[in-house]
Amino acid sequence: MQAASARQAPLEMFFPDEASRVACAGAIRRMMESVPGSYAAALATIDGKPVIHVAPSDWRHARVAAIVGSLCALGETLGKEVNQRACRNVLIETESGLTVVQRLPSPAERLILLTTSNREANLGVLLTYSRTCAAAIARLAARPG
Amino acid sequence: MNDHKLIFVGSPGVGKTTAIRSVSDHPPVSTEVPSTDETRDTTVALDFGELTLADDDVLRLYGVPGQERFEFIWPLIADGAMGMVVLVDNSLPGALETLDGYLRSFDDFIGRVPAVVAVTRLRDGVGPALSDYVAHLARRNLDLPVVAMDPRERDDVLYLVNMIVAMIDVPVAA
Ligand SMILES: Nc1nc2c(ncn2[C@@H]2O[C@H](COP(=O)(O)OP(=O)(O)O)[C@@H](O)[C@H]2O)c(=O)[nH]1
Ligand SMILES: [Mg+2]
Repeated sequence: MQAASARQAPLEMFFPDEASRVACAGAIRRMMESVPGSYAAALATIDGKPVIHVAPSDWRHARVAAIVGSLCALGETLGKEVNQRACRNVLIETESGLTVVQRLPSPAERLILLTTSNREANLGVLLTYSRTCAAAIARLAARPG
Repeated sequence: MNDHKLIFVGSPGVGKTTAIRSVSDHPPVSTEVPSTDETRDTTVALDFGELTLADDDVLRLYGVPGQERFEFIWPLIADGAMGMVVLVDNSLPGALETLDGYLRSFDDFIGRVPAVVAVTRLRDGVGPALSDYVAHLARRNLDLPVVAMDPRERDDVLYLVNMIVAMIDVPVAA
């Protein structure tokens, strides 16, 4: 059971049928259309593997997914270390934009959504639609194993 | 008081997180999550523990995530390290080749800072013997101590840590 899923690519593991994959990509596109300035989004596993993305062609997806996995774990670890509970997201603010990294809600807590935007985006709008998108994808994802 | 940074590298499951946990003064910072490849949890960012030495010096112990996809974080964690432990799982096929991979990835450290090869899951008659590791390293012009270690055994890990500390204190000839 475990061994069978181990050989599966993460995309097939979490979205076994074509319809759920299309719906997942659709949820990501809708989120991006709702957030002015949004220019990329990616789904990764919590152990740092790429699942699906809508992103510029020069993105190195394997690296982005690995960094997302590390960052999410560090965000949650730091949150606990400073006596906070239930990390909601890790927010990166740069001179040129905003990036939000968040774990999906149950039953897809083994997936992480990254959404990123340029300076045009409003933080509240980005956070709102990122959360909605994360919840929508969680409803589509299969529980692995 | 001085502090020294020591990093633990090697394949997933070899025992890096366990080794740091075995000797850290406090429960280490760990970033383990369920793996999508296997039932075991896996480190995705780093391990961090501290070990106070006899003279009040502190060893800062860092573990890296072993999978190659986390290569981006290796130089970030390795920066400033004064010593390196390369762990090898002797029960897996291709142990010597796996060792080569890590030696290559960290070749700007190995040779510059003290490094030790720690062989885990060593059992008689299974996989290479310690002397095979020594010979293998010699063919690559590397003269590194090779020790057997059970990462779950505090004494095993302390032995190795003390060996590296001794090497740090002795100025390495250029
Ligand atoms: N029997 C045995 N188990 C070991 C040995 N070395 C490590 N382990 C076990 O293998 C697992 C290694 O996991 P971990 O420390 O997370 O490895 P990491 O991925 O390198 O951090 C732990 O459950 C250890 O108890 C060994 O020499 N003998
Ligand atoms: Mg580990």
